[in-house]
Amino acid sequence: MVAGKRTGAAKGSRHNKKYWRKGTNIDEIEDAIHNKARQVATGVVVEDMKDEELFVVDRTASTKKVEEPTRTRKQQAALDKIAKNITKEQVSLPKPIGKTLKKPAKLPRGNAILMNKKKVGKAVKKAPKFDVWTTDLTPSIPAEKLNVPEAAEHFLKVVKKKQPKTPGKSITTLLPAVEVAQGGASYNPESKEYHDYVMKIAGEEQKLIDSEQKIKRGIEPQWEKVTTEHERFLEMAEGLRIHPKFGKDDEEHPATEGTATEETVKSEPVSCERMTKEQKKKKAKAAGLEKEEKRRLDEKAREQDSHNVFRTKQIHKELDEEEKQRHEESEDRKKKKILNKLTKRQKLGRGKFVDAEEPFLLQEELTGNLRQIKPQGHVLDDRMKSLQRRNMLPIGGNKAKKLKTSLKHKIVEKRNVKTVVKGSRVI
Amino acid sequence: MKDKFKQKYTAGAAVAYMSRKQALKKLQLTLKDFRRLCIIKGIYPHEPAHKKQANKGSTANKVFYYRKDINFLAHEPIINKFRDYKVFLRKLNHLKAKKEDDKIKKLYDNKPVYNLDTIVKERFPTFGSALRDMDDALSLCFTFAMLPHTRVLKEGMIDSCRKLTAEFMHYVIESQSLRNTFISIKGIYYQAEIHGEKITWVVPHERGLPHVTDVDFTVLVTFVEFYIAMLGFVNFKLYQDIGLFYPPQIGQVVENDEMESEDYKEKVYSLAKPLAKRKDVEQTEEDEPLDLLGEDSDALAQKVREAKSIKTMFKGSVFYLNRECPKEALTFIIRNGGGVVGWEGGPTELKSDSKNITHHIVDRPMDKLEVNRLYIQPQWVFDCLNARRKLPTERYMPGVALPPHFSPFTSEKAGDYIPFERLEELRSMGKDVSELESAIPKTMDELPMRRKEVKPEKPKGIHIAVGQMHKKSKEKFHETVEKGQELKMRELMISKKHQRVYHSMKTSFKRNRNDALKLKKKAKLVKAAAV
Repeated sequence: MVAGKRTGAAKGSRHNKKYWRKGTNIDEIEDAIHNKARQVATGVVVEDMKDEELFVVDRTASTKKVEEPTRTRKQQAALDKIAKNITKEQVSLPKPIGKTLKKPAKLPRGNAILMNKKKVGKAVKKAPKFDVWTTDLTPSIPAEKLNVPEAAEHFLKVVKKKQPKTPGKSITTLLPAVEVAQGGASYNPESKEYHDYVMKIAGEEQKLIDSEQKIKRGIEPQWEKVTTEHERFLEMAEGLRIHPKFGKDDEEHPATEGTATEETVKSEPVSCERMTKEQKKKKAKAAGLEKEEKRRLDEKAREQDSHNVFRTKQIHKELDEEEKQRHEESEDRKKKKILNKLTKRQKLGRGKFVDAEEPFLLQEELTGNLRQIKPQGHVLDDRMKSLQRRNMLPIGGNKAKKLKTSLKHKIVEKRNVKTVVKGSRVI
Repeated sequence: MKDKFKQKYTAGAAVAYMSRKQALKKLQLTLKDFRRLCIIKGIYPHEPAHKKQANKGSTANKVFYYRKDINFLAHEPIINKFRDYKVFLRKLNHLKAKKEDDKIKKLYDNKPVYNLDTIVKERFPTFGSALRDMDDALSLCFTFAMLPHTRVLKEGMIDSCRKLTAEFMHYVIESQSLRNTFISIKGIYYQAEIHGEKITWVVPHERGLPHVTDVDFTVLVTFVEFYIAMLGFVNFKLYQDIGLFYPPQIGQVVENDEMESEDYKEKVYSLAKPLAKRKDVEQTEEDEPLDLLGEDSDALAQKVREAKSIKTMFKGSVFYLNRECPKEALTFIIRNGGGVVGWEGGPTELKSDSKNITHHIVDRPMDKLEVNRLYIQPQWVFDCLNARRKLPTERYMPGVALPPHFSPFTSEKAGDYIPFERLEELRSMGKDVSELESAIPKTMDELPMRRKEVKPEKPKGIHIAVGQMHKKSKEKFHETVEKGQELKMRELMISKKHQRVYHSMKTSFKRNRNDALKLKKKAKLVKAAAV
């Protein structure tokens, strides 16, 4: 705002229009207008002039040095450090002393890559050209690298180059790997062999059919319709007039008429059969005799035991014999167990072993020459079953479904809940 | 001091066994990888004797393994390869999504592969043990060689199966060790004797194999993967033993590149041409004089004689196979017997009108026959091998109903009905059939005729004759009666437990006898009718 004296209207409040009109200082603007007019009159307008016309570049050195501001020692040190870092030349790392590593070989380019690739591809495909059973495949470390054999062994085991000793291989089965088909399965069989073979298959099939039928019979109800007790009663009472209150009495008002029925129903007289005196006597006598007999037998046994002292030799013999027999039996059991393990199917996994069905041809399908033969069955199927039979593969089955023990909650919005709206009357 | 408070399930079956789930956790593998590892390493599950104990109180049916087996598996370096493969798949997925083809290519080049050499040696420490396990390997590989390739069955696997099986058959031919064959409706069974081991395998018929649904191919593929590695080594060793080049070479020595060509492969797979032998190995001719083996080593001498007769069976004969015959099987057997085989467009370039053909194998009725050769049906070749000699060809002519094809693997029991043809065959194989023959029940007309005593005619009318003393043939009567009585007594002595078995055996003998008798009578009638 303008400084100095305020005159006239300017003396009043500044925020009214009156002040804005009269109180403003316009000296500066007048000066500027005057200056410009003067410049125009003299011929040159400063604003339009170029820099070179206005100024002169001073090229003479000034003797006076610009005085640097005094700094503390600490500030100076920091500055120096910065300056040093900026000005310092970048120097490469010193070369390593000693052997220098060779530069990696030039990687092949272009056609050379393709040529190399061919070599690698062929090497992989090629069949083995050495005898595994005569060449030593155990890995080893050359002696000049590691002289201590124990350490080498340990190292190889840790890096899994060398395997530990194989666990003793147990024979899994005694069954033959390839079971040759029976004579009846020949493409041109002898009639007897063929008959036997086919009859055996037919017998198995019949067994299957029978078992299926048995199950069916068990499931179906024996009579067409099962009549209930009530239906039977109604049938029996057909045509009879039944009092309308019949049957209702004992169902509907058992509690109210309880006292009344108690009086009417007569319980049967409790009969208590008692033995006669003679019978009692007889029984007591029999018991006495029994006791006597038992005592007698006990005594006899005791006496015989006492005689055993003289039979010790024989008893020893008997015991020895028994022991021997027991041992033999246990050996037999062991043998049988092993044999079972090696010849029978074990339960491996959840699934059930299903043997492959023997393939066969009907009599009219047996053409008798190799050209028109109709192959039956599949070798792979046979192989799979054979592997399973020899306990080499587990048989997977479906997991048993768990029965739900708790019921799931379900939210249901009932219709009459929906009808209750704001404003509805509560009864 | 004995531990007073020993915890449950810290000893015995509970520790000796490990469930599959536990094993997976221990090895940090997925089920798929674990299965593969077990098959490759030959580790099989076991059912514990005390299942409840092993299962820590539960009776659920689980798959159990020996703990020591699983501990052994943990050291297998292949496990790391499995893990690498998992990483490889992840990277591949990543790059595929980004569509970075160069990197994918690079990744494929560095695909982790594992080597089964050490495992083959570990599972089969000796060559003999590998030979004993060949049955499975051959049957699977022969079948796989016929399958079409799919996503699971890689082409490379099928090719190598084809190659290895062809190589094996070449070995059998060169060593002439095939012994038995049997054509069943399932496939053709073969049995060879290599290094004293009987190796049996089955080859499916050369038809399109039907589709199977309930076979887990991933499992079988893993088996085949291992068997391919094993068969490679076995073949190499077998070839070395009899001085052949491995891989097999026909005629002159061929370069590796040429060996890869389809033409050359076809030639090898056809089995028709003999393999080249190495010159540095001297051929040992096994011409052991048979009289070296004394009379006592009868079985051995028999075996040697049989082998010799098989080796020279088709020597000097030239076989021409008609179009419809199964070439591989026939070539295999004929060349095993020392014959020469050819067919139209085959590698031996035998023309159908060639003069030196001795046998022409045909499986359809022929109208134009040449004079100077024998025409036979394919079954003749198979039956010849089983009979160990050249059978007469009359019954095997084209258009004639063939005699039945018997299995050489079944053994006859005394007392059964054995058809005449089979008996002949057995006799020709040099087996002692007298026991079998004597056990066949005799029909009434075969029994030695009891001479009817010619009774002097009684003079008619009343007459008087000189009285005769009643003579009892003492010895004979007593013998038979006593024998019968003794038998009865012995039967009475049988314990009750065994009595039932005895009687059922007796009845079954009787039934079999009756059956055999009936069949024999029938056969006789048929024969009589034919004549």
